Amino acid sequence: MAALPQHTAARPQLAATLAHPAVQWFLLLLAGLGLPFLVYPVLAMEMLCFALFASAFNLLMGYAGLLSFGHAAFFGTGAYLFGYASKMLAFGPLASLACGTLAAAALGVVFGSIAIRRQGIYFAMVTLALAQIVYFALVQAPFTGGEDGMQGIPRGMVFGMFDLQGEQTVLGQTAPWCLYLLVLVLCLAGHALIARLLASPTGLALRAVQDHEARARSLGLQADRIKFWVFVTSAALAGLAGAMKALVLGLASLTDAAWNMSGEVVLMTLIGGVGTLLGPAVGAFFLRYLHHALAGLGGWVTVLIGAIFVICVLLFRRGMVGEWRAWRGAARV
Amino acid sequence: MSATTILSCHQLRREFRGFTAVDGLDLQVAEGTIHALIGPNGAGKTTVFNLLTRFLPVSGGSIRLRDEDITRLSAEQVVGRGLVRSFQISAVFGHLSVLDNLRVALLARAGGVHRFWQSGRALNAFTDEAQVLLRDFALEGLASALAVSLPYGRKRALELATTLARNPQVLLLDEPTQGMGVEDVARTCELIRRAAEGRTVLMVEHNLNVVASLADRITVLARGRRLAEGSYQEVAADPLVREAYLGHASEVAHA
Ligand SMILES: Nc1ncnc2c1ncn2[C@@H]1O[C@H](COP(=O)(O)OP(=O)(O)OP(=O)(O)O)[C@@H](O)[C@H]1O
Ligand SMILES: [Mg+2]
Repeated sequence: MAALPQHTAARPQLAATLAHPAVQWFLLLLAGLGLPFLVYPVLAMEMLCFALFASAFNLLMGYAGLLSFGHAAFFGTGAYLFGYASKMLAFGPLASLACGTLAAAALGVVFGSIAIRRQGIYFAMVTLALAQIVYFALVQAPFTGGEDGMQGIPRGMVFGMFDLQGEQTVLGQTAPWCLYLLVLVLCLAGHALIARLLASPTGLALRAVQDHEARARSLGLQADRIKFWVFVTSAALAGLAGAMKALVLGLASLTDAAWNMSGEVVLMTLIGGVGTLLGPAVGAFFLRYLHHALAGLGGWVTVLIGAIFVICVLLFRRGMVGEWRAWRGAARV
Repeated sequence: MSATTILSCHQLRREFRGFTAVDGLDLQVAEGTIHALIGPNGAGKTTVFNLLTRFLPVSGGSIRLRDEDITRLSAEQVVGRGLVRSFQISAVFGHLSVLDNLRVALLARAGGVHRFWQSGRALNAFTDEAQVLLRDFALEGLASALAVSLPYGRKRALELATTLARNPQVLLLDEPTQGMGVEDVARTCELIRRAAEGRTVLMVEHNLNVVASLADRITVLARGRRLAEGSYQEVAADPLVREAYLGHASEVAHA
């Protein structure tokens, strides 16, 4: 009998420990470190970049209720500006990542000023149109390499110590571990930033604005201003994701900025679960892995992914993480 | 009425594609009073509210709050000047908890909305004040419930509490008792009476019993124009008002 209360007390304690944010971030870090043992390292890094891209997009769609069809413009701009800084200006990798991120943020300021007052489908149309302008500008710009893209972007060294190019062997797995760690840490930092932002006073105001914009304005919340800065943040993080992808692959190409990419990030977010913190990352992992695993099918991959998307929309409207949470919530009652 | 005018409009006009919803309205609301705006459906009452609170641009005329011309200010700016409204259709943040509904209003009042770098704990600074409001509005057991899950009467109470959390000097209420049962109406009347202490209230209301018991002064609107103004007795006796309310004539007399 004496052991019983102890036993029942232990379970909530474990649950409370697991629910602590610091513990959850640590578990995510561990999971991230295990990833290169499951899939080959470059694919793992690509997955992390897309996870950040999808989460940046979700910040806008899931928490500000704005469906952007032009997010590839930020992703592509991040990639090209990273390449430009690293290859043409011979900046180090961190400075080059910062260049890509800032360029995307600046572009976000331009897009945001024009689009933020539009509602619903008009917002989607305006962002799509602006993204097409950026795409054609990248086709024409002298430094982008046109159809071939910008190739052979150097990875360089961090702090003159960590060689992002070289490979190391850890627990029998040979991989560019320095590069992998950098990508993992930046990906997690991006997610932490989003989580922190959503929990902040501004995050509460943002949720109020998304919930009932007129009511929010009637209480004096400056809805357009809040949405504008969320848009710029989302653009900056999408730019960082694109810059990281260029760092990993040594390549910035037009596909990064094309409208298909804008569509792909919508798919990732919806399949993973819009408006959930980890859903978009899960969706990104799933879709990137599918692309890789089914590469042998050629053009049929697109058809298959389209079919998966249709099934998701029809049967699992909340996305993978959303459905899981709803199921767990129902099971608890 | 010897009190000073706190909110007024002059020759206020609003057109919707050639249709004039508000047609040269003059209105003075005296400080510290409860002023009712009544009139048949489609008279333009909600449109007047939208104009006064700058949710709609005016087609003509001017609006003054105290000594300031607010005709060209934004909706967010007039809130900062102390003029806060509620909505005809119950407006709460459904996916926020009852407590957060209040805390976001208190946050807006404190001007802390842009503090994106602070953690969620910064919101705890508003919890005590929110709890007081919850108690005043008999919502204390519901603090962690999602607002969307509240029954209708509680939602409207929360809406009123949230509006008051912004601490307005002039409170604009658009049909605060609409769709309520008799009990809730009585409770809401009491809440409005208490909220009006030290404030000015302009309210749109269809329930003439509520108007009779609360309003110091009444303006009757019909087709966007002022039809009559005065105390309840004066307005109820006005033949023009009886005509506009044709079907309701007996109701006016007996309320
Ligand atoms: N945004 C709008 N666009 C076009 N017409 C409008 C708009 N808003 C209001 N109207 C019209 O203006 C007139 C006045 O509407 P309003 O909502 O102000 O009336 P009301 O007095 O509040 O009526 P109710 O008692 O039904 O709430 C109506 O004929 C309405 O159709
Ligand atoms: Mg109305």
